[in-house]
Amino acid sequence: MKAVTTVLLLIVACHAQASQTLRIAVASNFKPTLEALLPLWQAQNDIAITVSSGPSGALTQQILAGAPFGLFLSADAGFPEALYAKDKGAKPVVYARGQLIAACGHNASAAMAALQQANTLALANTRTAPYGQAAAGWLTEHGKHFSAKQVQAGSVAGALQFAVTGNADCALVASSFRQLAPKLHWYPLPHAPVLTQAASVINNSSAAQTFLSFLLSDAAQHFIQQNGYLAAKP
Amino acid sequence: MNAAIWITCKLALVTTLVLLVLGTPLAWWLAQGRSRFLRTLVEAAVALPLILPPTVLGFYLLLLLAPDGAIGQFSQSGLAFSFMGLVIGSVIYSLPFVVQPLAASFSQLDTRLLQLGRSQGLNPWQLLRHIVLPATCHAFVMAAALGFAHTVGEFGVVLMIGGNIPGETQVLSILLFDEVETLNFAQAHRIAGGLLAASFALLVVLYSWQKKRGHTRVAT
Amino acid sequence: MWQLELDGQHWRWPQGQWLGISGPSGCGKTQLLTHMACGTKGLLQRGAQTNLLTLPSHKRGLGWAAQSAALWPNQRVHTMLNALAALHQANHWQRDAHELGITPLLQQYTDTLSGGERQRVALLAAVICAKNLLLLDEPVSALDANAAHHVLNAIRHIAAQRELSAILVSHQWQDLAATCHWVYHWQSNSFSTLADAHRAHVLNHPSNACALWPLDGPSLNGQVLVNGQPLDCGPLAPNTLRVRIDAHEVSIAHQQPGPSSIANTLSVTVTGLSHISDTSLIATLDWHGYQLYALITPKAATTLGLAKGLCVYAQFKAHAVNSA
Repeated sequence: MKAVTTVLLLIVACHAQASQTLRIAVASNFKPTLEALLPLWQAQNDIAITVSSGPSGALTQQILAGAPFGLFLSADAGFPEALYAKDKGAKPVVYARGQLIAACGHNASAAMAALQQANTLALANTRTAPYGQAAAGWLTEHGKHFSAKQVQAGSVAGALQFAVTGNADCALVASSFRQLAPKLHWYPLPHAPVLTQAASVINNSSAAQTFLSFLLSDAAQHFIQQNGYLAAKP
Repeated sequence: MNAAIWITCKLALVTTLVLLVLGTPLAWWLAQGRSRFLRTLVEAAVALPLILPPTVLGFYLLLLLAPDGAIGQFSQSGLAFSFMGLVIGSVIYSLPFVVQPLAASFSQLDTRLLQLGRSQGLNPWQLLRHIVLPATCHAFVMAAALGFAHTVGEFGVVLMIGGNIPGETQVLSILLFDEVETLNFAQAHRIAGGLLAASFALLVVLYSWQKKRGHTRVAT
Repeated sequence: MWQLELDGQHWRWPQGQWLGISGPSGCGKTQLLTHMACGTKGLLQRGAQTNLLTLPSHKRGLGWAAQSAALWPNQRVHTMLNALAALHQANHWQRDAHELGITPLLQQYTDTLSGGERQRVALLAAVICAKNLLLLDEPVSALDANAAHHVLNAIRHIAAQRELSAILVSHQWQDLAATCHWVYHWQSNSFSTLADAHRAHVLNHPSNACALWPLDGPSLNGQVLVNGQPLDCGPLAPNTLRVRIDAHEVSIAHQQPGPSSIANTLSVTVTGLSHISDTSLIATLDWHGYQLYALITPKAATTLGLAKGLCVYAQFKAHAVNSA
């Protein structure tokens, strides 16, 4: 009985110590870049950051249901706009522009040839992940003649993981993932869609505002572009 | 990862304790209650999480725990994506694993023993302490271990109502999913291997304890 | 005075005395005791106190030694007894445990005891719990005759010290004979004193006939006082309530016999002769209102010219006087 009480007290005590933390909901494609940016942030600020990633659509739904996030970094502009329209987030601000790219396990001369050879093609969820939506859109325009079976992962990161583990021959993913899987062959797509990635501050969080300014700073933008994104302002 | 281990253990521990407190009277009623029809209904309801896809539970819990939901309205910002929400989800999800062994054990209790205890002057609390608990302690150990293990192994419900927040709702199974998606296979191996070893060890300990118990009974 | 009213039966017996219920197994004796412990219909009352059957089961102050001899599971004997003693403020239970011979069992787990050991522990538990009445359901059925005798006497002694009454259910006549004052005979549906019941019992079971005499006090220097007269006796069990003198130990003489190794000679009157077989006959003898039985041959009866009303001398050895 004593042991149980002690454990309960411990749990309660741990629960009570809530510090100044900014919770960021980030689209899967930007998570590696965001985590790489954190040391730069920590050098200048003492606000702790926790990162939750997933498909932008799922994150939007969580925020609508009351998830305690301060900042939402989406993979597109549509989901933050939807939050803004429902008064759940501040006016969206573009923080980066991402590109769709093909990652394949086999060698080929170019993207179209590589995709043609593929038996299985992995995409992000075409309804909840902007990169999945972009990939589906690109395929209807330019990929009608591909015979590959299309499989959907939960998020764009999941799509890449299918290719890395060899379960899919090719994946249409974010170009920012390029450094994660150097063993794959990466092919820029012709007429590659560009995704305008927007951020939205939730619940008027001042910490989130500070972090967003940091993201838009020259140093951070430079770092983001090094990671496979286009500049926030075209 | 340490935060996720702590969250997972805390969640499993709190869930198990809540289940033991709530599940014991429920199991008692299921085993000894009067209304047979009502008992059948509740029995079926308790067993539902065994066969229901976790996403069904997750979906309804999401609605219930939302700020304007039936349960969520009692808290300022809703209970979804909070530790408390996870506890509520896990309690429902692991309910049969605690209630069923307890109810089975309670229904095997000798009625004459309970009658005797009553006539010996024991009040219900003393009856529980001196007769019911000693007679069914193996079932309590089993129920607690299964409830704990099953909560640790939970994924679908947590995925839907957890929100994957490190330090708050990111349990090991979710973190593992995250690490696999982000190609962090070294970390994924540590988590998956650790869970595998811990679960196996728990079951080995549990079964050997059961065997030993059965053995001493026969031997003496 | 105790009263029990149940299913149209109505029994009364004085406080401190024991009521025995005899009958074949399966006739409903166990249900009767279970009803007294747990049921709610009927009347079970001491003097003008509350009807115990209207109280909840745990407030009746009954010491119930159930037939199953159920003990608290998965714990040591002393854990169970200590908890019961604490609940009922019974501080001297170790002494009773010693008397019942269960001191060596205290460290054992209840599930590891033999049938007889369980019964003795269950009896002690009943004694600890009893404030009003002991309910003993075949409490010594798993013990051999000697041990059963010893345990019953011990329980009777403990109950007497605390002025407890008891209801004892048994299919063994000697269990009732050793302890009870009143007997309900299930088959004949008759409620009577032990002496009357014993008389009927002897007539129904002549081959086991014996005299059953209450003692005026404890035995002293190989002598006991019965009916105001000293009798020589063998070693008696402690706390003996009654002595038995088996009919085959009793011989009859026409004239006052001379000195011999036969210690007891009583002047008695023949009140009945019952034929059992070609070789045996039971003579019922009256000694100041106490019955003595003699198992003799028809030939001896003829030689002595035994007839109702004849005054003769009955003889039996000291060692024929045993604890009932």
